[in-house]
Amino acid sequence: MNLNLENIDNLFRDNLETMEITPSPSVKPVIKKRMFYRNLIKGTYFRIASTAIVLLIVGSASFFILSNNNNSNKNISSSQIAEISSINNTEIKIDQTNSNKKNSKTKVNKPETKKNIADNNKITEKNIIPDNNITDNKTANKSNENHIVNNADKNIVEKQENSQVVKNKENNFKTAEKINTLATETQNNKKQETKINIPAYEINSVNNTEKSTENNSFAIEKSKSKSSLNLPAQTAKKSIEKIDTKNAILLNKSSQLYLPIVNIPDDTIGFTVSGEEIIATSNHWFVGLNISPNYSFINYSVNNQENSNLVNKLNSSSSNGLAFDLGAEFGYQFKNISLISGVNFTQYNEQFNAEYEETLIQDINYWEYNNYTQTIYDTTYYVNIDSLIQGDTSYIQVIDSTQITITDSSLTSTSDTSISKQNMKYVNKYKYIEIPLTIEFTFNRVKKFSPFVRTGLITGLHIKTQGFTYNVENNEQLIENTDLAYVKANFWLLFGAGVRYKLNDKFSLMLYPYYRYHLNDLINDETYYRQSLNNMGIKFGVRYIF
Amino acid sequence: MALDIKIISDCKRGKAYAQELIYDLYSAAMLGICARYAKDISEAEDILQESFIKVFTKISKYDFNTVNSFSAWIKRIVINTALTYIRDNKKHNIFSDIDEENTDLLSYNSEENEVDYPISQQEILELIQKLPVGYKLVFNLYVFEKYTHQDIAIELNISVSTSKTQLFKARKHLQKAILEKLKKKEFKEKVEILL
Repeated sequence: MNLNLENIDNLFRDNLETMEITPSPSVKPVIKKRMFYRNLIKGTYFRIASTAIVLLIVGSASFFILSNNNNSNKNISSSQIAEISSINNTEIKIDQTNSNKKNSKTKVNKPETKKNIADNNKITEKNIIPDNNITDNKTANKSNENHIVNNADKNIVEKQENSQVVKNKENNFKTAEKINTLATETQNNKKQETKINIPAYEINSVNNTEKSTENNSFAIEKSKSKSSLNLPAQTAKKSIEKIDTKNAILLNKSSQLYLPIVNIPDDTIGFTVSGEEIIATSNHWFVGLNISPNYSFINYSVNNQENSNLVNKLNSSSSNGLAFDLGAEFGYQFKNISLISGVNFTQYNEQFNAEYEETLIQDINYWEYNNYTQTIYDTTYYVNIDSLIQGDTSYIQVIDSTQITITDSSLTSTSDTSISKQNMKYVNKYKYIEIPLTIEFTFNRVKKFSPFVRTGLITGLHIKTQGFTYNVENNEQLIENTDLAYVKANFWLLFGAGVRYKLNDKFSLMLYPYYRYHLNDLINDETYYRQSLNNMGIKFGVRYIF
Repeated sequence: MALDIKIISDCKRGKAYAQELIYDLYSAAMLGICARYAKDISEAEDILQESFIKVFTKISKYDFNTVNSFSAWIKRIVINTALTYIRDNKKHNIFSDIDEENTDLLSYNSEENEVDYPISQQEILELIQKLPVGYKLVFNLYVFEKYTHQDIAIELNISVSTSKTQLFKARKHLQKAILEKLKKKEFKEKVEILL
């Protein structure tokens, strides 16, 4: 072999280029396990992402549709606005006539906000008054107007100002009266349970005014009426005595009728709808966290008659296991109905209490001893000398007997069979990642306590199953089952009913018991027995409303 | 080693049986490659694991039309995985200390290189496994993968001259190691004869 440098390459190439080394047996399972988890994660993410996309599309579409419906209720069409404007103008003229006839000073504060009246003398969309309601309540409006006029008549000012000021004031009064009428009308609409969502600070009405102790000023006391106006006296005074045309809305050009814009503090809100009630009754998105102990009712049923004995034994020895689930949810509430999804990690426990029987075979060796007696005879012949002398040969026979005892020993083996019984406990832990798709109906959602019912479909992805065996001495033996015998995609039907308690506008707590019915088999093998994982639990949760 | 297209297709779909079959077919040959880059068989098996994970996860990119041989495609992945593994597990520059090592290598006389004793495949593998990492990479890529020095320079992010130098030193290192091993073997056999 020539080991010149050029031949080094050939030496190594010839020997190692096609070299094959059989991997140790441990490599293959490791790769399989890693691939399994990789596929599982990939599959899980794919399913979660798919579900999230579907939910996003459905949720967005629902939100869009619902929003449009709400807007159609809330928005006043241009024709409706024109009609309302014309009603304003007409009624203002009538009011002016009436006020001229009365020729008296009336002192009525007209509070308005910038939000309520646009520069073009139109009612903004936040002043939500459906057209049909206005028409239907025309009679009621007129009575309200008369009522207000009467109230205004009672508010007589001691000192009379010049006629133009009076005119302006009267105009202001009439304008205020009209807006008051609209607000009253709105309130009436609400009382008639028409669906009008009006934030409290957006519409203000004047029902009751009382005479002030100050000259040329109006102090409107805080009214006991829900639709009353709470306005500081000084603010009201400014609005009447000196109208700043820059901060006022021109209502009638010919009569130089201005409507002063007065900023009303938030604490002078007079409308009846509280903020909490508005949030409670509005449609909204929400998220929540929940945790629940669950109790599994694992049921075995016969898939093959040959296994009936086994199934009966399993059902009789199976006891239910206490486990848990925890997760996060999100959803959208529309009126009383909520669509809810989320992600849960759930563990179900199954427990068997069985008597473990073990047959013990013990070999026993022992010696057996057999004693027996044997007699040995020894015969001796004697010649009698005397008779021999006499010529007679005679023999005397003497028999000597000896008895001996012989002991025979032998080694004997026997097997001793005994049954050993041990009380064993077997616990199986099934772990799932679940995606619920549920619908919830809430009763009395505006109340602090609101009961609800919930139902839906839960998709569970099997992650892992572990088996534990405990013996009497509580020695734990772990058997991790990764043989993929369990169905990956599982489905449950959810039925639940509970109650939700509102902590405040944003947070609420919920508590609801539920029952979940397993729709498919737990295991893949169809020749085996059927196994379903029904369970019940009590879910505790907290919800945050956007 | 021909492989049914159906098996590769099933492997692309994540079928476990196909993955297992591909592993059974190629694992021995690929471990032979890994062993040349690793310091021992345990490290080679680690590289093999990573390689097959990559094979199974990237098999969707394997194109029957553009790649001539599936085994060549797997081999390419194994080599890249080995290089990545060595880079990731080497904290300092694998080429920084090579020039200082074994300066007496160049003093070997080639006239003494005639030997008649056989050397086993396992012994040759051990020799290459014991090479300094930098030598090992360049020697493997040049001798077995038939890379040019230009390719090696690009692959390992070194200069062409560095690649050439390291190949030369790797050869010298191996030459010395083989001679030492054979001389020991020769001496041992002579002793055994005398005894």
